Amino acid sequence: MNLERVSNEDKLELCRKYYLGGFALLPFLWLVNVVWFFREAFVAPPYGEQPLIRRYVRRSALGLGLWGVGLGAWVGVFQTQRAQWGPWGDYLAFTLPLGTP
Amino acid sequence: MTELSAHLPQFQHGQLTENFPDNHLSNTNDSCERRRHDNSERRRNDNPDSETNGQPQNIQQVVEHDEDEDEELTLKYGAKHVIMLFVPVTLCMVVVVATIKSVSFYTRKDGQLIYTPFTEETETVGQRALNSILNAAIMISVIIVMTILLVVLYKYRCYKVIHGWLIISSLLLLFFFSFIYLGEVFKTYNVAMDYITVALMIWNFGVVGMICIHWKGPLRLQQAYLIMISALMALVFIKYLPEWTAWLILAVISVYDLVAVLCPKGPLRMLVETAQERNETLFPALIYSSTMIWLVNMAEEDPEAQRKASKNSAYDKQAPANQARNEDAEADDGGFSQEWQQQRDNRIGPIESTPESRAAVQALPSNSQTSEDPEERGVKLGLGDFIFYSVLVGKASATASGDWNTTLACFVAILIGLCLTLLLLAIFKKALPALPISITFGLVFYFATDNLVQPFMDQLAFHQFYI
Repeated sequence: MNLERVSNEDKLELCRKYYLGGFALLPFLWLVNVVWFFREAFVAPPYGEQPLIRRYVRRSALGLGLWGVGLGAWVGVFQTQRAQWGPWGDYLAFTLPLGTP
Repeated sequence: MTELSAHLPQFQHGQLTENFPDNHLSNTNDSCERRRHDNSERRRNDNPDSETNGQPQNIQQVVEHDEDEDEELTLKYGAKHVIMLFVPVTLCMVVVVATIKSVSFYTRKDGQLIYTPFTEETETVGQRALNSILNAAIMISVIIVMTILLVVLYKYRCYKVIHGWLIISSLLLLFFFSFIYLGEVFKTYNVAMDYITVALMIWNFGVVGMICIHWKGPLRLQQAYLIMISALMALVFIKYLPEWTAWLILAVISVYDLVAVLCPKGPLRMLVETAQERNETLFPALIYSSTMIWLVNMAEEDPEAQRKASKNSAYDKQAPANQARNEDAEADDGGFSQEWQQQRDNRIGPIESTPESRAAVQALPSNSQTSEDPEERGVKLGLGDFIFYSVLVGKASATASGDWNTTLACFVAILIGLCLTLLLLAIFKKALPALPISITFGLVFYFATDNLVQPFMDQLAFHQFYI
């Protein structure tokens, strides 16, 4: 859908729903929220609902950043330490690389 | 015409059976628009709530304006819209070919779907031919049954059933198939991955996909998701259909597409006509839309209407005077469009024959009489068409002796067919099947290149003779 043709209340409602939805372990939804509403929140000329949209976009970005840090840390730890973990590493692994680690 | 068949996926011992709806794109032509205007005029007279001041005059002007515009548009509607469809079709095919070339899972023979019970590992050529013909016959009959079932469900307004069917299909496609795909890609590149990250990725991919496809989301993301699920579906077909069966099915599906869309009693045509009678949008969710179609009072309408418009429903144009009517119809069709989408998604079941993939290319003329951008015409192509095009090119890249020569030849053939189909669409302005021309060209080019051009090129290269 094109945001240009949507009314401001609907934009706010959409942004808010995307923001709330992201709490269901959905950082990708927050990413979509940030990218999609970035122009609306920060670049477009101000209108009534813009401060609220800005708030949601900022919070989505914050949540996204936290998720990114956490996920990055976990993946980094897993990839480098998996071989040393013994059986736990294998239980957690979805695919195991062939050959010597 | 869009065909819809729903399959419930069942995974049995490596065999996947899926029901999928077929979708065809119907395109609305200007005559449809004029008809809508006439209908809207009548409705306007019946509906006391619609604005009536000066409406007949406006409608008349709109119709005349549209007629003039139509003549212009027949010329203007051409290259730009063709390019708008080339990009997604090319992307889908590129994804499929790249996967086929790199991930060996999709070229490994791991059994067949129950829709193609006869094996092709037979002693004699005759036996193999017979088996493949039987397989294709079974597939086609399943598809026909599914399509008729879909039309019947639609005719008797069993929207809930269709809706549920679509939801299940989308869920299967977005979660299960992408999970398998991701696993195979990791195995191919020898990457270790833990369950937690994989679960998170699939969860995000699937849920955001459902939101974008069935609810509201950025247009580009929705298009990307439709391309991805088409590619996943095509990959399943490429994996689970044996050789001769696949080519036969492609050929028969094109013929069926032609028949179902153009014959007066064809199921798809009946579907389109029923949708037109009810003034509903046709399969908004099962169709790839290349751009947004803007109605005049877009901003005031509920986002539901907007979403549906963006989904390229061919019949989504309603006269501005019928805005109230629009919203009712939109609300009615809200669930329906989701169903259609899911059906299309579901269609892509790996084993199911894909009668669904026929989609007519649909160009939506703008019906607004205001200064809305007249270039904002959506071109719609059914997802089934994406799938079958990709199946053809993927099979060519997987099994051809000519390899890249054949792949590129098939790719070019399909694009040429798409151009011609769009041209016919601009001329005839009604729902057209998008499969026959492209698939015919693709098959001809595949067999010709593989058997004639490739040995020729090999000999030239062997003798170092450059032409």
